[in-house]
Amino acid sequence: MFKRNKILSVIVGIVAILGIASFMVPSNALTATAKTTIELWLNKPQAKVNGETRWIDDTNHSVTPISKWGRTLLPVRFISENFGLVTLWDAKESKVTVMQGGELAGTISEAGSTSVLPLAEKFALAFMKKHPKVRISYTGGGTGAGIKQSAGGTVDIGAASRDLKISEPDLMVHAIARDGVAIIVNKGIGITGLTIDQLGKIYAGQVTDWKDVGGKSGKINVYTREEGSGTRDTFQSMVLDPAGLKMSPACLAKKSNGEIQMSVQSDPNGIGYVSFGYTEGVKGLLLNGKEPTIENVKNGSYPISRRLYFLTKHNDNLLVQAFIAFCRSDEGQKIVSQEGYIQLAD
Amino acid sequence: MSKHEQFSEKLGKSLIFIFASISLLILLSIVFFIFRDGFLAFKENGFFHFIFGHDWNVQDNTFSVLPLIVGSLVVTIGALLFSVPIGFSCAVFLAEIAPEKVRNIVKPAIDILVGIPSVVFGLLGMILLVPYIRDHYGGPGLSILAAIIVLILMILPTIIAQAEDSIRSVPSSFKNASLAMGATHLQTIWNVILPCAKSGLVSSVMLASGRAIGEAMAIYMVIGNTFTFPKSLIDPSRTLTSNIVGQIEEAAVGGTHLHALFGCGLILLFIVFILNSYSFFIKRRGCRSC
Amino acid sequence: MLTKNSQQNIVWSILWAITILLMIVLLLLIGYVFVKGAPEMKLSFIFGPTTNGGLMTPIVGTLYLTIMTLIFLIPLSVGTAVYLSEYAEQNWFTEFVRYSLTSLAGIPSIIFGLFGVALFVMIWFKKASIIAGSLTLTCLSLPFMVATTEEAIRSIPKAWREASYGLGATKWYTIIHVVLPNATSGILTGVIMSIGRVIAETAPLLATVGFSAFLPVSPMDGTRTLALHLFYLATEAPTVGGLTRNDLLSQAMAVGTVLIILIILLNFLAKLIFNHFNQKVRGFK
Repeated sequence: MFKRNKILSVIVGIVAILGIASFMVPSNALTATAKTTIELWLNKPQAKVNGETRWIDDTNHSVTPISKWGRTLLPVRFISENFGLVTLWDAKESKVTVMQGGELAGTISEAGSTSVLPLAEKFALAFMKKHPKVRISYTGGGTGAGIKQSAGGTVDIGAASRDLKISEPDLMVHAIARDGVAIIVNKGIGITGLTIDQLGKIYAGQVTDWKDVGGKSGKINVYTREEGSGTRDTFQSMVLDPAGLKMSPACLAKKSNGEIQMSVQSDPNGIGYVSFGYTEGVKGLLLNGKEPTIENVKNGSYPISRRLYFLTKHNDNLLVQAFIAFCRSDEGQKIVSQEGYIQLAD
Repeated sequence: MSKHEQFSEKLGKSLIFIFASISLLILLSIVFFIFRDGFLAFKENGFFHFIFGHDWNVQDNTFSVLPLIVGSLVVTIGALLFSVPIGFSCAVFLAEIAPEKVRNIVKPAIDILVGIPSVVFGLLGMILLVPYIRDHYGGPGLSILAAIIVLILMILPTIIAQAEDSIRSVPSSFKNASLAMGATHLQTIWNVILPCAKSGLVSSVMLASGRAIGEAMAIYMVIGNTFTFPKSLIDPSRTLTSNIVGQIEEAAVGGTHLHALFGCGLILLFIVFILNSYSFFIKRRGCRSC
Repeated sequence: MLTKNSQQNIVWSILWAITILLMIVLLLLIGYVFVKGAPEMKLSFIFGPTTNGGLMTPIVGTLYLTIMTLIFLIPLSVGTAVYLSEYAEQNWFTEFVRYSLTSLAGIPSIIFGLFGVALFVMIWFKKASIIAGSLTLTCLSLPFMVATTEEAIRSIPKAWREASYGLGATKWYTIIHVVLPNATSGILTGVIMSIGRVIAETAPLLATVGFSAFLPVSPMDGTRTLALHLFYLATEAPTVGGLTRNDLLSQAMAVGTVLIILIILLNFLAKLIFNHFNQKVRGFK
């Protein structure tokens, strides 16, 4: 699904743009020195940025610096983005553009998932502050509308809170954040955890009383998201589908994470599922014994998580690429964790 | 007529004609879209299955609306049961009994209440009513009872304003004749004024029920939106309108899902149409007898 | 057996009680909104940027949407009303137009939302936007606006028109210089009531106007109205940033307060214009 471009380019080009005077080439490692230090090793998929180890491409671990024609070729996006530059790839002309930020101008329109809205707003605000001549607009309408409108070219970027389905248009998919889905209950409920199996049965309407899953007796009020919600699709495909279950029609349907959080907070018998950012005032349940924490999503032990995406058409413009690159950069990913989502690189 | 005058006369006429045609075009396209997409819902799901089935699943692409129809009717009828007697009492009071001073305060207040956005009522229901019902009667609190109470408060001003108008429009000679014949004021109201105002009263109820069945946001906020038949007052349910509110954004890409929502709209339209025709019919009869 | 008078007294007191009770309940509810909303009613909240939790975008968005709607609504409805009252012959076609207008007036607003999605959002503009929202609201208000305008035009005494014709004026001249100026107040009342609807409606705007928190510039941008923002505050929760659920609810109450005040002001304005109009007509008679 990922079509992020890997561009290998000659280091001399980068150095010329940055105006870095010198670089050293130790026996098998290559280090460029400036305010930001990036250390790369030939044929090694991990690099060090200011001493921190990270993947050159977190979605494709076979990207490494290589040696060809007696020259060392480095992934240009990794290098330039870590130097705070914008790298653009024009597929039509097979052209690489590396830009130093500051002179960006124009408008970007986004549309799509309301779950991505708060994050997209913060991205846009930060980007517009950096580039005052850029104007970004965001309209809601849901993941489906985001996919349709970006494929149709009505908007530059579509926002989706779930993976694209096979039947949906072929778009460039840019992950912008990860997000865990927490199972929340009212603070007064005496249980601390459920298994995926129990959870599925609760949502399928096969278990309707808290005493059947180890709580005190009381009818479970099950809160779900409306049909079409990306979070609901994630929940459906990770909890119900593997067990061959269907969501019970008796679930109380809500339009947003916040509404579910509020309902569960005040309903002593309520259970719901929300993004990790929405667990204030409610109890996040252990799922298969794993706590709903960012660490557990990172190490893969927490079972329900998803990515949030920006979608663009194949021939996207430079400004849009610059914006998405910003969202995926360190600066953008800092916003991701401030908003309660999980950074991509982690 | 000078040439200039002739020209502006023609221009004016064609301008007016263009505007009127656009308006008509709008009307026709609304009807066209609702019927075309609504019928598609019936066609895609089967007429009987769409109306009498009770499954709604976007993933499986099956849609049917019986619980929604039941929900809409239960909520509307429940609200009318209470708001009609209360509304008529207030209308009689305002038109016949209240001193001018009281009337001058209450009447404008009611006019303002008619215009208050439904989300405000929904918000109040969410904050005050839902927790109260949950704590005192059980269930999730989100319930048809909450929806009914919110609706009562919303449609009462409409009923009062309309009913009061129709009571006041009864000619005072009728009233004076009855009083002169020795009937008390109460008897006059009961035997003369209310029967004479009947057609206006009925249309006030029809207007209110149209508003009740078409109300979307406030109900969405308090009814809970399960896809089930309510078995008691404290059960959650879902109405035709709250279903559209809940899914219109995600369905706004077309296809069977949007058609199914249009199907809900078409059924809603059909119910409103029956209400309107009934009110029209009563009005005609009222004219003849009075 | 009660005497007729005491019977009447009992009924009277019941009616008094019902009305007073109802008014108290309704006033308490409105008062609750005001009291809960009052602490939030700070200038920094009302005019602050919405991306920081302020009301700037909903206020600008409501204004933008109102103006756009009126730009479409006024010519269409006045034109249609003039056609119906001055040009149209009494035939089945005119009756048909009039009948469809009255039946449309009773259609639930959410259905206009569906229509707006199907035509404006999906076919015309391909995205939820201010222009799609305002066209949807135009369709919603059109039947009511035509009816009000037609009524205002019809209430102008026939003698005035005949006098104008008698002086040799053309029909168009009469419409522009006699009919419309005298119907202005009636039309204005209709406009104000339409503005009231634009402010209060939420359902038709859900999927047609977008949900953007940024200040709108072009009509293709999305925005939100005050009522939509209230719905958003009431159903969405803060992720992080120090705000609690209760903060958002009292913000929602503050928006409710603003809305109610606006509705009261509009009502007041409508009444002023109505009185002005009545006096004028009476003065001529």
